[in-house]
Amino acid sequence: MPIAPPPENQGSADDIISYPTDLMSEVALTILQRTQQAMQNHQQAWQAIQRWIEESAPKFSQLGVGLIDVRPYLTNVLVPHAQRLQASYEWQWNAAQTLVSAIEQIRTTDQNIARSFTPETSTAGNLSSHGKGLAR
Amino acid sequence: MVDATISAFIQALQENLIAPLQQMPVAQLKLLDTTHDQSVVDLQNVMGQLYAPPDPFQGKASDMLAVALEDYYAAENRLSTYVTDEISERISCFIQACQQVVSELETQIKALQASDPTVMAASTLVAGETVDLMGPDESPIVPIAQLVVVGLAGAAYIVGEVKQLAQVEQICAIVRQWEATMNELAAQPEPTLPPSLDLSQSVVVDMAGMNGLSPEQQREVNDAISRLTSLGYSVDYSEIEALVRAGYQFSDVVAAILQSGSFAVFNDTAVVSMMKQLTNAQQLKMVAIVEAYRKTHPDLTSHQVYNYLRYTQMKSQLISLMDDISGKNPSNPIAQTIATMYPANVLALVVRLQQKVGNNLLSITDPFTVTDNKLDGWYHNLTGAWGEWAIIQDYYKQGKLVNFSAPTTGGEVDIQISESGVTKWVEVKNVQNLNNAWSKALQQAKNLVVNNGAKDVILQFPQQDASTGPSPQQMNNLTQLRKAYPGVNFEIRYGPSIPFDPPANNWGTYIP
Repeated sequence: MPIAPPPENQGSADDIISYPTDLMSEVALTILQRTQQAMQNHQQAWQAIQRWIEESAPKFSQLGVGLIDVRPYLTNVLVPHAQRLQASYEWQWNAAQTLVSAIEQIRTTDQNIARSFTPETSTAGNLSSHGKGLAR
Repeated sequence: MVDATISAFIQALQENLIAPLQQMPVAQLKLLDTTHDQSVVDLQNVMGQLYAPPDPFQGKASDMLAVALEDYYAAENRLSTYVTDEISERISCFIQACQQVVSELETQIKALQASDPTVMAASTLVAGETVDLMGPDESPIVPIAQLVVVGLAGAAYIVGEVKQLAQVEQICAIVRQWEATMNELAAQPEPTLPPSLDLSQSVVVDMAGMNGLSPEQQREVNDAISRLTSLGYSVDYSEIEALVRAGYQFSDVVAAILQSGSFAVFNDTAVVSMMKQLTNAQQLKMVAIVEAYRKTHPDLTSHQVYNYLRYTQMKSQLISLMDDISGKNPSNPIAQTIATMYPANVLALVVRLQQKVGNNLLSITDPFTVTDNKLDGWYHNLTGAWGEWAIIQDYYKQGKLVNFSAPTTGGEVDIQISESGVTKWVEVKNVQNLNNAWSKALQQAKNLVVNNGAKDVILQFPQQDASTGPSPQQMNNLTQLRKAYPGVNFEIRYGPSIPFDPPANNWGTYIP
């Protein structure tokens, strides 16, 4: 980071619909792999932090009373943050899964449409006969 | 009451606060943020490929994804706002506060340990009350208000030596400041993530657009999908689209058809043409009727459904026509007058309609089983009677009507009129094609002449005009008839323009 804004050519022109399904699959797969790796790294780091918090329990002392227990302070700051980061990975994971679903949805429909309405066959991967550059 | 030495206080502070914070896993804490940071950068780079030339992802789903990503990046930017070291502000402040409290406490403890050992040993920490402490200055009582009250761990401790009081007070203030910083950090809300992404609806819109559906049809498809998915049904887009494309205009009807598993019987051009004449509620009722019937008749065909609808429409037409002829239609004053003036003729026409159509049609208990032949026969008689009735009213309006549906030798005459003092016998054929009706018309004309002495016979065809009237061959037949009966005037008359089909306003009300 810092994170740049999304590409300016985001979205589409009003009259163009295009689903580059091969590229979409590749992107979704890459995101899934990288997110999974990031979640593993996150988990390992967090386990070490959790151990440290647990080991910070008050020790017996000659004072006779507990002076301070730092664990709630540490937990209250760190746990929400760790959970928020975890939620961020889950958002990414979900976004990739949604992309996969969209690909499946469009491929299934393309096959149905091909069977129902269009005698021509679409090229593998891309919806060239329906999805690319079709003007509404 | 708690009684403890300064050294015990220091030891407790070191073991319970300083040592844990010194052991803070800074690397792992930083790793949490750097891992996340890199992950978001990766996402941005990879997702960016979808929007790059030469073949970018485009459409409603693409737009929706871009907006969601924009929201996500904005949220993660707020989360990862740097102070230093590429770490989030929350973690950065956390590490800094912990390291700072350790450093400050160590300094203060050294100062406290440097105090007079005698005094230090004699000093006590006493919980929550004023006590007598005999210090070097022999002060008998130190008022509580002048002592340090240490609130750590909920206990109050009193230190009886002025210098140590100040040092312990300083330590306590440092600890409290750390606690406050931690509480403040904990209370800071993390940036909210955008809702989970769902592109399915947008993909449907894109698919509809790709398939050339209208915006209304797209919305209908979307609505039907939403209805079905909310009910837990798996969505077959192609079936939804097929029904919408076929002409179904209500998404709840489309959903109901698919939900009932009746796609095949309703995805039929003839059925659709009939269903489209029904209201939304009537269509839903029809879907429910079919669903119920299919439970006992799983082989129900679309043609049977079509016949059911056709039968229902015909039943409505029959009842409406009979009411109209009988003068029961309040919006038709001409019919009411005719009913008053020609009660016997009206009765004859109604009875004939009842005999030729009504008795049979109205006795049907299962319209799914009505055959094409029956429907065609009823329809033929129904349209014929409707044509006659329309012409009767027309002649009445012209002031020419004399008689109708009157018995004759060998049958009956449709209409008798008077034009310029001449009585004319009218045979009406309300047909779309003369081929099957022509010979019957001539036969009836001959009957009127031969058996009833008619001198003027009119063959009237309301659905035809000069260009669609009798063919040359058919006219030849008429010429032969004219030659056979030279004293008779045979006339062909077209119009008046009337609908071929009897009125069937809101016939769906007859769906049970």
